[in-house]
Amino acid sequence: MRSWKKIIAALLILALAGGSYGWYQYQKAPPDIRKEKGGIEITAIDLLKEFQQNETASNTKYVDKVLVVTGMVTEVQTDSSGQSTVYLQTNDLLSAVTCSFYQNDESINKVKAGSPARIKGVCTGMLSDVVLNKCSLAE
Amino acid sequence: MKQMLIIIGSFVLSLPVFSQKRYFTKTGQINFAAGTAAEDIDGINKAATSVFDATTGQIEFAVLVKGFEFKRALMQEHFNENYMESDKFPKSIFKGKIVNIDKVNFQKDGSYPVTVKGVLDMHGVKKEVETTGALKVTGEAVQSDASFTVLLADYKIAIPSLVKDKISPSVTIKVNCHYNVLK
Repeated sequence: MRSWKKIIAALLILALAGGSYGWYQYQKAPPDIRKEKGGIEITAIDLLKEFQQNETASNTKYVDKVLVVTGMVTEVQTDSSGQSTVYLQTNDLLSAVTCSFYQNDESINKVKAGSPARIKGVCTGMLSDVVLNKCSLAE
Repeated sequence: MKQMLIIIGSFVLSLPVFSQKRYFTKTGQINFAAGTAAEDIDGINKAATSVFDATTGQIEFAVLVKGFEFKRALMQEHFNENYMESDKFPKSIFKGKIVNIDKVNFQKDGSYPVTVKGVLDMHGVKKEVETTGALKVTGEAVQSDASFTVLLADYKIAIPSLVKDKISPSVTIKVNCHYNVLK
């Protein structure tokens, strides 16, 4: 009789733990890329070149991954909502590496057109540019 | 020398006729709402590219499906893996035309209602869509605003019965772009 109760209690605890784990997983916010350590180091020039040479392979290699891209900043755009985008120069006049920053991220203030920068973000693929979102200035 | 001047002069004069004014953006915002009363589901993409021709009204949008951001990690995962299958179909593309582009005066500031018709290529399915929106001209810059609804079933996106009360069968897509002149 005692062991029967124990089993029920154990099952209840297990269900509760499972339920709260599920709830936690369900509610979990996407990871803050700014706090992620590491990332694939690459230059903007090489990144675009790789994508242009083999987009499918590059998608597998880079998309959904955290990248730290180094390049010359050609332009910084900030819209009225505080959404900033940084363009990194490549060897192709018509294509850049587009880095879409976290909204109102303060590290954008240190990014200047005409200067080099190391930018951390998640690669989402290539349109005419290689695109990164959730960007910030890498330390 | 005189002949050359004439040639150069006529070339310069003819330029405005040949040059078609095009506008573009790489930071178009596209968001969608697929939630119901039971659940808020929305994603936003801030790096859509778009270009349109002010003379012909030809307009194109392209967006990377993986670039949609969500409030919850799991939503983003399900969106990419179960519904949009973004490894297989990484881009969504719209190609069409602003049918009443002649009603927009790009020389005069103001908000102009427009109708856009075209084909949306999403999840490997191409389908005609038509919507109305507005083009707002401010000097050299143009802002576009439009929203339209698509049925997930039209794009072969199946909703499992388990989450039927959470995901709306019709999705509202909003598009907001700040264009600059393509030089």
